[in-house]
Amino acid sequence: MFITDDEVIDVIVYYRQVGRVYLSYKESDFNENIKEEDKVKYKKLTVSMRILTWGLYNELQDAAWLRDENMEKSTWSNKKYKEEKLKKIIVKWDATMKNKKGEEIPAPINSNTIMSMSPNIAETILSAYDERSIFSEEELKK
Amino acid sequence: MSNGHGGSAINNDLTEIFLMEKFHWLPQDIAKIPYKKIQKYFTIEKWKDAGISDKKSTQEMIKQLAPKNKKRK
Repeated sequence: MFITDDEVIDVIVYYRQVGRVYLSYKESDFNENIKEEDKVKYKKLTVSMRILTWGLYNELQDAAWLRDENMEKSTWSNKKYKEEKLKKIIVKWDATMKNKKGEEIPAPINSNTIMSMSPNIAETILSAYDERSIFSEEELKK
Repeated sequence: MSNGHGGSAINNDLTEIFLMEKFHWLPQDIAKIPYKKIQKYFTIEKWKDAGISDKKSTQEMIKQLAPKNKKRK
């Protein structure tokens, strides 16, 4: 019933670069929609994320408010919500980056690396996470 | 109210007060409950309030409540 800080869920995303854009898929969409012969073109990214608890949910909602000069909540920002969410929930990943010598090295998890992710990959991670963490209205009706 | 991911938002304060009164949990305990469990719990509570006990009767009720589209002759 109660979640401890060390409990995580793993989300798997497949991606590949096409020109300057990254195509990315959640594991279920990838298995369903990508032909077997094309699957080798994709890289796999595994992201471990904090479980969405009532406390974390409220923390994220609260962080997404833009505040006026009196620090009062003024506008709820979907962009800020997503950014805060990525920064607060990702605890581990197997992402890599190139160093100055062009060698692949593990990418650290920090604000810089998270904010420099391809938007498509970031959206796919969030979507896969939400699917595991939140009932959609359709699911609740079932 | 939008909560940023398409689902229905739950009123935060009322939820915590309800859970504290019903289960005698502290706010710090409630904070550790998976959001999905709270969503599910309150959906079931809503059904109970509406006198709905199972999925079949939910569907029946939806059918009854849905506006009937009368065919024009």
